[in-house]
Amino acid sequence: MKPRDASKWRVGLRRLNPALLPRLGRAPHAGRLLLVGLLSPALLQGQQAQNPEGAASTARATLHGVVLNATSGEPLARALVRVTGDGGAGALTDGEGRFELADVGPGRQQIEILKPGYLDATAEAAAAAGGDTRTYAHTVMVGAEMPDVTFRMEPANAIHGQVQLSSGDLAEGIEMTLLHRTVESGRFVWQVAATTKTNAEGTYRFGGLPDGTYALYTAPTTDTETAGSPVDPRQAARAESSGYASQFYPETRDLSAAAKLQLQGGEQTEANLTLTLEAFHPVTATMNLPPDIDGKNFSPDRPGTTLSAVLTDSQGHPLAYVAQYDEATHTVQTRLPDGNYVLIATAGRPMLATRRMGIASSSRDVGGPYTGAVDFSVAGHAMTGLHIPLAAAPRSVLQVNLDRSGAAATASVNSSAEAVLTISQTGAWLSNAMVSTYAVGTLGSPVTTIFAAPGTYWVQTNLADRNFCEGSLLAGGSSLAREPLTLTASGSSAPLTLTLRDDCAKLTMSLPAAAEGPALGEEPAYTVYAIPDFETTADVIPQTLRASTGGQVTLDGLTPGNYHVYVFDKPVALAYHDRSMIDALPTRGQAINLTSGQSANLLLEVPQP
Amino acid sequence: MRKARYRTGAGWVARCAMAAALTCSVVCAQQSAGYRIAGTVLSGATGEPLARAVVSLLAEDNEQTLASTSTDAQGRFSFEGLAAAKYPLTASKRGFRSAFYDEHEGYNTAIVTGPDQDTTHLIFFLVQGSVLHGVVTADGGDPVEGARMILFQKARTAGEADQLPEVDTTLTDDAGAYEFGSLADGDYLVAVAAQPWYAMHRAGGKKDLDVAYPVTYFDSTTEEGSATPIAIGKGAREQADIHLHAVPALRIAVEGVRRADGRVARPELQQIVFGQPIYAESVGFLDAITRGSTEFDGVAPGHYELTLNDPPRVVDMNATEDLQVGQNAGSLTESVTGTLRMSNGTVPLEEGHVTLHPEEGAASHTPVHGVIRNGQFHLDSVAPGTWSVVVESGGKTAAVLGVSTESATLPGDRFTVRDRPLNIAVTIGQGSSRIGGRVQKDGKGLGGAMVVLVPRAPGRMETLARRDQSDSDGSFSLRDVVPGQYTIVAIEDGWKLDWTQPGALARYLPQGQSVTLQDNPEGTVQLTAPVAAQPR
Repeated sequence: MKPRDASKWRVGLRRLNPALLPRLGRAPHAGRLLLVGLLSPALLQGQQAQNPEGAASTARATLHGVVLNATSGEPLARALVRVTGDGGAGALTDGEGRFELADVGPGRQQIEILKPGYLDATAEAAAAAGGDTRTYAHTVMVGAEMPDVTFRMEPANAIHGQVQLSSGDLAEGIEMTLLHRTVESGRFVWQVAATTKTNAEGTYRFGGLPDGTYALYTAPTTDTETAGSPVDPRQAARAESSGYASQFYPETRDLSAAAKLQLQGGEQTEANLTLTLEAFHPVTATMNLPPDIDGKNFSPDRPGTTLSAVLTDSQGHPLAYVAQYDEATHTVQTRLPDGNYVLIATAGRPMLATRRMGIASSSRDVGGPYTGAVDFSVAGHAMTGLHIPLAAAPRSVLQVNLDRSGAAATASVNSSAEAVLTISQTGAWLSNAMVSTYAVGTLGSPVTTIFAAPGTYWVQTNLADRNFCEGSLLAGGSSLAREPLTLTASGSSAPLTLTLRDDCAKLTMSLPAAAEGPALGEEPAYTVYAIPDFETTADVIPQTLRASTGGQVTLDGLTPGNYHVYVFDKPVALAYHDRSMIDALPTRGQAINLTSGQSANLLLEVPQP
Repeated sequence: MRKARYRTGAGWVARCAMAAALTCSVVCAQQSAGYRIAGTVLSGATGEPLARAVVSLLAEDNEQTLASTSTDAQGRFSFEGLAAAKYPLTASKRGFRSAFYDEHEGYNTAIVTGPDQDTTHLIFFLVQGSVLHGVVTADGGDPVEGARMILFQKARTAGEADQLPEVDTTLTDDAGAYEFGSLADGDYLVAVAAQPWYAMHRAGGKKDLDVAYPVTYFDSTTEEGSATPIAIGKGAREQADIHLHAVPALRIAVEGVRRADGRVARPELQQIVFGQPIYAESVGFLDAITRGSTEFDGVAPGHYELTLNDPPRVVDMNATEDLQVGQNAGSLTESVTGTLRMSNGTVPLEEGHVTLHPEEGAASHTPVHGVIRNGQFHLDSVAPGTWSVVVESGGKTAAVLGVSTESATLPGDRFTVRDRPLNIAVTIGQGSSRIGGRVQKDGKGLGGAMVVLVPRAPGRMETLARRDQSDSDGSFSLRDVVPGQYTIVAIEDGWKLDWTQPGALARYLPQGQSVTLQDNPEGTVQLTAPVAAQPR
C-alpha cells in the first residue's frame, strides 16, 4: 500500500477559488474590485438614492449606444456594458456593437465596459495616472430620451516567445519578469507588471497588456536547480556549478541597454531569448559582527533576529540572485556568474514591547539594524575571502527649519503633524507600486531616517499639515529637487536640511460652465495638473474634475511662486519633472502666480473636443 | 525501498539541495579505500547519455542528501569512498522528471554497497515529463481566460483507487491555453470549472446573462461518466481542447440558517467532481440575519454537497433546476470522539492532526479535519457512512493498524458512522511492525523485484496488503504491518502486474513464503530464508 499523500490536506484548505470569482478587470485590481462586489445591495441602493439629481426626469430610462474598437474604430460585438453595483443592469453588445440597457435609474450612473482581450482605454489611463480605477471611468447622466452613448475599448497586447538554452537543454521553468514603464511622482519608473515561467516547450506568454513600453528579464537559474543552496566553505572549491545568468531581452545584463518593447493597438509581439550556459562560482562573505547595545555580542542566530542579504550591481540596482545566511559559519553564501557586485547585509531585531495587563507599557530598541556592504568582482573562480563589517546603521536626524516669509531668522516648527520623505531608486525598478519611506517624524520633534540600501534616489516630501509647504530640501549643499540623494554603503548621506514655509498659498480651480457637457449622456472628466515652474520635492497630485461633483477643487499647502496649470480631457500620467515632456504638450498651460499666504482662483481652459 | 511521503519533483530537489554541500564532507571524508557507486544517466526515450544531470546520494533513514554530483559529457557519475550502507539515489535534469533510481509507483531500488556488491555499472534512466495541453473555448469560439483546469489521474490499479486522483490544477491564460507539464505517463481525466466572464446573477441582470458553465470534461462533455480518459505516454505531449457551453444558472435557496440561539450558521455549498469537493462557497450572511434564509445564485447544474449547521447535516444534491432546501433536508451528522493507542502500549501521540476521508457510500464527499490533543480528538459533524482515518504528527503520517468502536474491532483504518455519536479507538503502529527479508534469484540477491505481503484472510487485500521494491542486494522491508498471517511473494519485473485484481497473485502464492506477525510485536521480524524471485 502506498503512503497517503499529504495533498489530501489541500482539499480542506481550498476554500476560495479566485478563478471562479467573477473576473471584473485586470488582475492587479482584483482585491479592490472584490471589495466592491461584497457591498450589500442595500448599501448600494442607498448610495444611488443619494444622487438622483442632475437629469430632468425621475423616471427610469433606457441607456443605449455603441462600443467601438479604439484602434480600428470598428464596432465591438459581445462587449458587456453594465451599471456598477450589485443590482446593476448589464447587456452584451450585438453584432453591430450596439447595446441597450432598459430600466436604468435616472441621474448619475457609473458604467463599466468589459470584454476579454480588450481594455477600457479610459480606465487604464486613469490607473496609470495613479488614480483609483474604481473612480469609474465612465459617468453617464441618465434620463428620458437618452442620446447614443459611445464607449471605446483598446485591444490588449501580448508578449510571447521562446527561450533557448545554449546547452541544448529544454528551457523549461525559466522565470520571466515583465517590466512596464509607468510614471511615479512625476518621473518615469519601471514597475514589475507580471512574472511567469516558461512551459515544457520553453515558451512563455504575457497577455492582457495595455499599450505602453515594456522590458523583459529572466531570473538566474543554475543548471543543477540548486541555486541559492548553502556553499560549505570547506567544499567551496568543489561546489562550482553552471547556470544561466539573469538576462534582459535580448542579450544584456543592464536595464539601460535592454530592448524597450513598444506595444500598441493589440500587438502580439514575439521576443525570443537565448541564454548561455556559464560557470556560477561560489561566493562566501563572513559577517563581522559588532557588539550589541546590551553589551553582549550581537548574534544573528538569536531568536527574533532578522537577517537579510541583497545583491546589487555596482550601481546599487537590485539583482535577482539569492544570497543565504548560514548560521554555522556566520557567512552569507551565494553562487554568481562573472561580474561586478555589491553584497549588502542587514541584521536587526524588531522593537520589543513589554505588555502588562494587555497594555503595551514600554518598548525597547534591542539593537540594530546593523548593516554593511562589500564590493567585489567574480572572475573565473570562487570568492571566499569576503568580509562584511556590520555596523549600526546611521540614523540621522533631518534638520527642519522654518523660513518665515524671507525673514532672516529661522524659527522652529511647531506642529504635531507628520512629515514623511519617500524615496525611489534611480534607474531601478519597483516590484510593486509601493515607494520606500526614508524619513518619518512629526515636525515638532526630530524626523529621523530609516536605513536604505546604498544607491541614488529621488526624494519626495510629504507634509500632513497643509499650513506648511516645502521651501527646499538640501543634502549638503545640493537641492534634492534637482539631484538625486546619494546613500553610501553604510546608508548615510550628506546632512539633510528641510526648510519649510508657513506662508503657503491656496489655489481653487474651476471648470467653465461650458465643460459640463450635454445634460444627458457621458459626462466629460478632466485631469488637471498644477505644476510649479520651480523645482520642488513635493508631488503634484493630478486632480479629476467633472461637473456633477462640483467641477471645482482647492489645493492648499502650495509653495508660493509661478505655476502652470495643464488640463486634459482624459486621464494622463504626466512625467512633470521632465521639462521635455511638459514642452511637448499640445498646450502651453495657464500661467498663474501664487503669492505668499494668499488664495488664488483660476477658471480652467478645457480642451475643445 | 519505499521513498518518503513527499512527491517526486521540485520538493525533494529543494530539500536535497539544502543539505548537499554541507554533509558531503562527512561521506567524502571516509577513507578512499571505501566503496564506490557509479553509472551512467541515459535518456529513457532515446537511450542517449545525459550530460549535466545532477545525481544525488541520500541517507537511507531520513533521505537527506549526502552528496551530489553532475554527470560528464558521457552521462557518467561516480561517488567514491563510501561506507558500506544502503543509499537511495536520485537524478534530475531540466526538462526531465526527477526520479529515484529504478523508480516505480513510489518505490525504488536503493543501492547497497559492500563486499561482493556490483554498484559501479548502474544505468539510470530519466524520462522527459509528459505534457497535457490545450485550449478552452466557449460559445462563439471565444477563448476562456482564467478557467480552472483540474487534472485527475486514473488509478492504474483498483486497490489504489482510494487515493486522491487529483494531481494538479492550473488556470488558462488570456488565450484560453493551459498546460500541465512534468507528468508521469498514465491515464488522465481533465475537468474545467469556469464562469462566463459576462455572467450577472443578480436581479438587475438580464436573464440571458444569468448563466453558468457546468463543470466540463474532456471531450467537452458535462457528464462525469462520459469523460474521456487521455492516455499519455512517457515524455509524450498530448492535446486536449475543451469547449464550454453556457446554460441558465440555478438558484439554491436555503431555509433555517438562523440557529435557535440567534446565531447565524452559514451554509456551505461544495461542488463535487469525481467524488471530491473541488470548490466551496458560502454566502448570504446579511440575508441570513434579516430573513433567516439565504440563497446561492449563479449555480451551474451539477453535483453538490450542502453543509448546514442547525442541526448539523449534509445534503447531497444533483442540481438540475432551482432548488429549495428545507430545514429537514439531508442526512444528520454525528460527532466522533477518538482516542489514540499505540500498538505496543507506549504513550500515544500527544499532538497532531486527524483527517477522516469518506469511503465508498459515505453520505459526504468532504474530508473532516480535527486536532489531536493529549492523544484524543473530537469531530463535531461526521456524515453517516464509512470513513478511513489518517493520523499525522510531526509532519509524518502514522500507520493506522486498527479502529475499534463499541461494537467491533477491525484491522485497517476504516469505521462506519451510523445514527448516533461514536467513540472510536485508533491503534497506531510504532514502526516496529516491520518485516525484513531478501529476494533471491539463482542464489544471488535480486534488486528491483516487486515484493507483496498478501494477507491470508480473504477480502482483506485492500487494508492489509503491503508492498516494497527490493534494493540492489535483494533486501526489502515491509512497514506498518498489521498482526496476522501472510504470504510474501517476490515478482521479478512485477510492476506491470495489476496485483490488486482478485486472483492476480494466486499463481505466485504457492512459491511464496508464509509469515505470521504476532500481536503486540516488538522489533522487526527478519526472515531468515530468502524469498524466491518468480518471473512475471
